[in-house]
This record gives sequence, C-alpha cells and structure tokens, in this order.
Amino acid sequence: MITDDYRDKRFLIVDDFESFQQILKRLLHDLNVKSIDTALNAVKALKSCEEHQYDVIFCDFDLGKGQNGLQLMEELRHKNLLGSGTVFIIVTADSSRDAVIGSLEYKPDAYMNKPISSAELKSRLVKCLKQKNELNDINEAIDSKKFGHAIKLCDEKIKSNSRQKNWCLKTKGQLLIQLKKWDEAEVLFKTVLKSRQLFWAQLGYADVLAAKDQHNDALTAYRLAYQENSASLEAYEGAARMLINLGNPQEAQKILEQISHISSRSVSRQRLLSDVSKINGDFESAAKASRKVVRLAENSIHKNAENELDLADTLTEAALHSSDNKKIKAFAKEALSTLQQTHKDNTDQEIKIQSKLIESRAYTSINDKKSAEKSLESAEKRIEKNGGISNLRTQLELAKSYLQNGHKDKANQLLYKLAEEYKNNPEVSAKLDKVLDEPISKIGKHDVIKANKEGIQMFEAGDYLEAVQCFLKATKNFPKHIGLRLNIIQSLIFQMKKSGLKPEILRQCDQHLSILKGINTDNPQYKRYLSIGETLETLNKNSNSGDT
Amino acid sequence: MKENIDFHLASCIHDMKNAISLILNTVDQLNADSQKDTKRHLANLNYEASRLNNDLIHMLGVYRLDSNHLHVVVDEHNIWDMVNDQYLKNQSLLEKYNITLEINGDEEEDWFFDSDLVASIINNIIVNTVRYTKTKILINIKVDDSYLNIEICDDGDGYPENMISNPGETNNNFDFRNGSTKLGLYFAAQIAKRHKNNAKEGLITLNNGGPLGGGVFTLKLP
Repeated sequence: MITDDYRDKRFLIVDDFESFQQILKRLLHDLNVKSIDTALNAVKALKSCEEHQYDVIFCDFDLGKGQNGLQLMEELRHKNLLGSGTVFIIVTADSSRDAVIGSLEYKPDAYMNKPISSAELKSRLVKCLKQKNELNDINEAIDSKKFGHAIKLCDEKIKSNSRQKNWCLKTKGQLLIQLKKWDEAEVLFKTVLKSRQLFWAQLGYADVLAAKDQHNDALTAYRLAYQENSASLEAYEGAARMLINLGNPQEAQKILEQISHISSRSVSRQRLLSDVSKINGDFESAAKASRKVVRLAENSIHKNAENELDLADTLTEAALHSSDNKKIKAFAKEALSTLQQTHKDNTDQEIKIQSKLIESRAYTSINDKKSAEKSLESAEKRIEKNGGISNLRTQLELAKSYLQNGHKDKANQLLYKLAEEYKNNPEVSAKLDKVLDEPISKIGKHDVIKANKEGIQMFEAGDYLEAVQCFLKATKNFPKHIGLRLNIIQSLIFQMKKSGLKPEILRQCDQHLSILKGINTDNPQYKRYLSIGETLETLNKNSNSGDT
Repeated sequence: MKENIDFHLASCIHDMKNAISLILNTVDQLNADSQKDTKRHLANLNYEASRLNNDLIHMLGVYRLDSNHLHVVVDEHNIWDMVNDQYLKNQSLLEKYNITLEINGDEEEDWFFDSDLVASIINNIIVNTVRYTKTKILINIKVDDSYLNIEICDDGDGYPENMISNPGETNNNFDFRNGSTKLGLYFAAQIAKRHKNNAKEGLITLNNGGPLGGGVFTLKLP
C-alpha cells in the first residue's frame, strides 16, 4: 500500500520549541521520511507553504506569539496554500482542549496529544493518508465547487457503511447548507438527532432553522447545541443572532459578553458584539469590542483597513452619543489618531477618502466645525481626482458625513440617487435604510410602518414588553429611526409605571435616548423627544433619591 | 480573578507537560543503545514520567470539572482505533517491563464517546496496570445491551477491597501512595458519568478475578 511509503513525501514540522522539532524529526527519520522542513512560527510556516506543496504538516497548537496552529491552518486554507491532499495534524498539550473542540468549521485531519510515541505516529500517519486516499474524490469535487457531485459520492460511502461514513454524513450536511437545500439538510440532521443527541447535528439543524427564518425554533436549537458543547462559539453566536432577530438584543449582548472564556480571540464574536452593542445604544461596549477586532485581526486573515475604519466610526458614534465631555474628548481623540494611522498606512485611495470622511465626523463630535469641513472638502477633492467614481462604502460614508455636518440636501440627493441605482438590490437597500432616520427603500418603508403598527397595538393592549420587542426587532434594520426609538422608551416607561422603577430598565431608556442625541430641532418628533427626555430625567431623580 | 488563575494554571501545566514529553522521548532514544542494567532504570524512569503526565492531565481535568469548563463532546468514533492508539502510546513502556498487551474486539465497530477524554482514561489505566500486573494485560471491547464495555484485565494481585466497593469516590482517608490512582479513577468516573444517552449514564467498575485472575477495570458507556 502506498500509504506507508514516505520516501517521496514532503513533511513540514511547525513548533516553537526546537527540541520538539528534533524529536519529531527523529521519529520521522525512523519511518524513512527523507524530506522534512521545519518552521518555528506561523509566519515562517506560511512562507514554507508558499514555496512548497507538503504532503503532511505537523503543527503545534501553541506557537507562542502570533497565530496559533488552527489560525495558521485557517489562513493557509484561505490563501489556497493548503490543498485537500495535504494531511494537517495538530499536535496539542492538553491545555488547548477548548479551542480544539470549539470549532466545527476548521477541522484538521487529526489531533495528536503529546507525548507522541514512534508506534503511535506511524499508525496515525497510515490512517490519515489512507483516509485522504479514500476521500480524495470527494475533496476534489468540493475544491472545484462541484457540490452536487460531492454529495453523490458521500451518499455512496454512507450507503456502503464505509469507515468514513460519519465524516461523509457531516460533510453532506454542510454541502446541503451551502447549496441552500434547507429541507434536505433538515431531514439529514433530524434523522441523526433521532438516534443520538450529537452536537454537530444539533448545530447544523439550528443553522437550517435560522436560514429558514424560524427564529424561535432556531434559538431553541442553538441553546440545545451549546448545552451539548459549551465550548462552541458557533452555537452561542447563532443564539445571539436569533435573539437580535427576535427583538431581544439586550439578551444577545449578555450572551456574547458571558462567553469571554471561550475563544476569547475570535474576531467574529467581537464583531457581532460591537454590532449588537450599537443596536442597544451601548457605544462604550461597542468601542471596546471594535478595539478587540482590530487587535485580534492583527495576526490573521481578518486583518484589513476596514476594521480600523469600523473602529474609528464606532468611536465617533460613541463620542457623538455621549453627554460626558471628558469621554467625548477621549473617544474623538482615539478616533482621530486611528484614522491618521490608517490614512498613513494605506495607499488605496478609497481607504484614504473613507478615513477623511470619518475624520470629519470625529471633528464634528468635538464641535470643531472648521476641521470637520476641511476633512470633508479634502475627501471631496480626492473623489473628484478619482474621476468621481467611488465604491459603495465611500458613498455611504460621504452621505453620513453630509448628514452629520449639516449638509442635509447633499446627503439626500446622494442617498436617493443610490436608492434608485440599487432599488433591485435588497442588501444595499438595507444598508441605505440604516443611514437615514427614515427608510428610503420601498421595503424599508413598508417594514417600519408594519412594525410600528404592530407595536402600537400591543402598547394599547397594555403588553408593553411585547411592544418593546416588536419595536426593537425593527431597530436592527433601522437603527436611526427616531419614531421607533421613542416608542421603545415610551413603552419601557409605561412598563415601569405598571410594575415599578427598575434601574436596569432606566439604563436601557437612557441608552436609547442617547442614540437620538443631536436630533434636529425642526424634526416633527422633536417635541416628543424633549418631553420623553424630561420624563426620564424625573424618573432618574426619583430612582436615585429612592436609593439613598 | 478565577480566569486569571485558570490561565496561569493552564500555561504552567502546558509547560510541565512539554517537559515530560521531552523526558519521555529522550528515554526512548536512550533505550535503543543501552545496557541491560540501564534499561531497567530507564523503564522506571519511563513509568514515573508517564504517571506524572497522567497526573497532570487529571489535575487540569478535575480543576476544569470543578469550574464547569470541561466539556464532554460525544461523536461517533471507531473503538478499536482509539484503544489501539493507547496501546501504541505505551508500547515501549510495556516492552521495557516485558508485559504483553492484547486487544479483543471488533475492529470495525463504532460507538459514541468523547474520543480525547476516553482515550486519556484508557491510557491512564494501562500505565497504572503496568505497575500491578505480572506478565500481561488484556483489553476486551464488547457492545451489548446498548452499552459499550471496555474491560482492562491484568494478572496481578487485584484491586484492594476498599477501592472495589466505591471506585472513583473520594473519601477523606487519603493515602499518598495511591493518591494519584484515586485521582485518576475519580476523573474516569466523572467523565463516564457525563456520557449520557436517553436516561442512561456511563460508569466505571472495579472487580477482581476476571479472565486473567487479577484486577478488572470496566468502563461502561451508553
């Protein structure tokens, strides 16, 4: 069998301890392996993989500073440097267990626990190469995106009760999801779950329900999934997403904050946390999460200028929505220095323009109107120099800066132009609706009216908390909508009138109100905004005096 | 604060495990070209280092159990492969002590368990049994009555009576000589218990007699 002849195979060992490299090297030499490269860290490993195609990679999980073994694998896959023919084995000491069982998406071919004996190494290598051989057709089909064919091959293996049937079943489930064949995927996961409560099937089932917009059932399924495997970030993130959809972003934020002990280095979790904090009007938490995104992405495939722009944007929002002068200054200062660095580090014109645009809003937040105008003009000049053509994000940033700096006409002109241009693109329309305090897309307008109507009905029936949920559901898509926010606060106030003052609810009211800071005096809702603000102030005073 | 301790504890144990791995691999290297007398010393060194390694796994495991950070994730795995890997891990230790190990069971049979954690239980029992068996170890794999049974039998003097009555239980008459064995059994019992299917839970039992007349450790998983 070709699987135990290693003379022609090329090996790479990645370990930050040279002594371990030596041990593994010696064990491999004993197996007649001729070609072995070594790398001390992820950066060097990446370089080796750019130069050579390896048959087998042994990679320690803990690589010291920088990327860990799983992140390295993720990056290699992302950069197409890790073909499906390469065996990737993660070597771990016991302490990395959570990271190992936490992720479903990025699975190596095998995990081996230190210490590794010669006999064990040999047996594992044979097994992995044999498996690679047997699954070669399927992996190739997946690599060339022939998912239908891959499913057919999986079916054959499942039917013949092959040793790889478990792998094939999981893979088939993932492929069906990729192909958006929700019903078939649901049947597969449900069938597995009928005989055993297996985590991967539970998570897959939840993903299918989420894709079918069955948010309540999906939430239940995600909860079962993380009860089954409480190291699974995917399950917690899924639950948080469903809670946002169901109008409970507070609970979503809580879940994401509670799981800081698992995958504390996950970029996706911090990004989601930043988004949900913004929906909740908790801009300080949003800023904290955005900072983490930038820091964590430093060593990974997620690193790009967008993260820094997002951070600066979040910091600017935090400054714009705060009423504490000290905090406003600190947020704006951090935003400005982040932007200057981004501007300096990038040669891409779009990035430079976007950083100027966010900069103008940062200046507005500290009332430096002159500098704000200057940054805006500098951005406009660059756009002109570019031939007037710029990407969607740049145009959105431009509209936001126009709005913030009092050029409402220019903003509206630009946004209506974009709305017309993208009227058949729901994704972009949704983005446009998020910028304005009133949606401009047809669907957006309809959705807001519907949500308001439903919420008001509940409010009038005295179901204040249900009304809040209904309005909150809509704020996910229309975060700047003034009427919705005021309705939320008013419902919360009525709830307190019914069941007593609660500091937690008061805090939520303050957060929602802070989002409306800077509302124009000519806005039809302005009077209502003022009166609700006064009511809140009185309630806050009562609550404080009740404390002492 | 607790997370901080967890982090330091984990990284310290990580470091210790690395050191022990180095020792074990060095022992292996030395063994190849040493004389008979040295070989006996190396065998002891191998045994003690393996024991230390398992103790560390158990310490970290028990700490995580206590802080609810140990997650048992069940999936379908080949049983024979998992058991055989543990034999291979300890092959050179067994050879040094002239102990033979035989695995009986269906090589194709799959079952549902947390492969990593169950492997560490089997590994620990093998290392322990090396000390107490005389000539051989027999591992029986059986699936019946909707349980997987893994029996590890030896031809030694058997387990002490007080251990058999409540394996994996901690009591206060702590004995330094078998303290680490008890920790291992406690860990095994806890991991077994966390394997659940419908209303059934996993468990461990200890018996004397068995096919080789010595001790029998049994892991039952639903």
